[in-house]
Amino acid sequence: MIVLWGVLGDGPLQAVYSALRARGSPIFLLDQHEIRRAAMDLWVDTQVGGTLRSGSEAVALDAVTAIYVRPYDARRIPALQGFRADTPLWRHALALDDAMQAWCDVTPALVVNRLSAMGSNSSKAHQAALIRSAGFDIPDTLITTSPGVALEFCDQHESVIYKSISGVRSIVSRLGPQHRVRLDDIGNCPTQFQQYIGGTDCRVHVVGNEIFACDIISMADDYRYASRRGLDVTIRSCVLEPELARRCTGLASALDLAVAGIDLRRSPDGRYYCFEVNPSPGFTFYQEATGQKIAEAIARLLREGCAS
Amino acid sequence: MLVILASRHDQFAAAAVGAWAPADAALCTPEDLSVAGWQYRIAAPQDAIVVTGGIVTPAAAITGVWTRLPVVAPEELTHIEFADRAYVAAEMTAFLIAFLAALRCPVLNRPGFASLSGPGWRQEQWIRAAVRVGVPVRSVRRIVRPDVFLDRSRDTPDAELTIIGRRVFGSTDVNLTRWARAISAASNTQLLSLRFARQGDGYALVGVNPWPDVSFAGGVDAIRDYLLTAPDTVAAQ
Repeated sequence: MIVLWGVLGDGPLQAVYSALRARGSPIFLLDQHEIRRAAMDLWVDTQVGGTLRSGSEAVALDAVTAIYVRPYDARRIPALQGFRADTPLWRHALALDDAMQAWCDVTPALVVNRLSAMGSNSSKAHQAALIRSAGFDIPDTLITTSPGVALEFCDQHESVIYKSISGVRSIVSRLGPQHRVRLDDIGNCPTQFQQYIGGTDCRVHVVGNEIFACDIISMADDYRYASRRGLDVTIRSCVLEPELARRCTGLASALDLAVAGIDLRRSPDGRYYCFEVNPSPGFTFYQEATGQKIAEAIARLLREGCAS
Repeated sequence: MLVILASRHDQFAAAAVGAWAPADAALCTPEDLSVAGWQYRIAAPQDAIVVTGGIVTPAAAITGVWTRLPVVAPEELTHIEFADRAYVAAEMTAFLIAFLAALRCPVLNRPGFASLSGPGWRQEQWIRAAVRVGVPVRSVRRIVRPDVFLDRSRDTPDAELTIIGRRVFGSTDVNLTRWARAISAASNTQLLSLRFARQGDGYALVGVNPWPDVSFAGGVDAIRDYLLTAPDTVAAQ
């Protein structure tokens, strides 16, 4: 049995669900919209066991061979809107989240991906150090509370961007003259500055041992937000050199990620820099643009987990 | 210099800094992260500059860190505009995880992805880690239903041990001591308390706490001794 945890309607979860259904795989869907009808009994000792319920469906935890994990923050799901944080339904939602996370971290089933591994990008700076340890070039990166040190860093590089250190999503922006006059503000909070690397973005999805790579051509500093600036994005499949592909699968493996979205940039001199590894990639954006069958590969991986 | 990373409200930490003063010790609070002076370059963590107690210091001068914060909480940051506190707290936590992980000196406990101190495991993960190193365990159980939440992972212990480095406090039982060291090693977490309950003729693990109360006699001294004598670690860099 393969468990899918998240919200049906979320692009990646929906795509994996459809791919598994097309293959006739046994699926148990824990849809967070159905939180009122969900329950769990989890016990852990020398074995891991219990039962997971959603509505009238139930599955024995020891019968689960793979889990695809795409939960939303329970506090933001529509089923909880309008309820106060101290209501039983809220407490139930948070307790179920916690129990699911605990199970995902101890089950012998294949988990895509374990919550403990997904934490790697909660500190992008720590993740960058691990990326560097895995043999990738990373842009020169400074975290500081000193405006003077930040200015020195800017002077060392042709161009500099700033972005959040934590997992809080932020728009990567180039530091311009309008920001320099506000640099005193960084005295309040360590701020991350990074050497700007020009070139072509390359998104690599690692699914087990499979690689799906695509080039992204855009004039935006952060192509995810190109449309907000009225800029185009072109995405097309590409093939990585075998050595680079091996490094990508090695990086995902080093971070204990069965599926990962790796953000690379190929500089004009042909060097690849790695910016970040997304442990829960929204791959459908790239799949729709390229026709790459990423959902099917994830479904295959989950099925293999099922067979092992 | 020994550094205790703690809340400014943590009087126990402040007292420990006072007691360690001959060894050169400083308290670092979240407020210090709002002082100009910090510098950390991912490619050169050994050249980092820190701020402790408002004083700018090279990170190379730090010989040991005891972390008493699981995260930087927004509530600590009363000097930051209310609307920005949650974001700033998340940024400070993320920065400290990177900084502490890269330090080569002893760190109690080295951070994980989910915690500034230790791996941030749930009880289920501690139990599984114990099973893997051959420690008898008692089952932990959760029942989560819309009408009930039962967490049976908190039995009353018959023995509670605290491990600080290789030193074990609270019991001289050979098996308990050996098991405590095995779990500490398996989790790479050198400061822990472990709770055991009687089971048959022996004991079984019922829970682990990476935030032990070390106010017992010799506790704080053992932490200082560990930080001063433990070998440096090859960090993730």
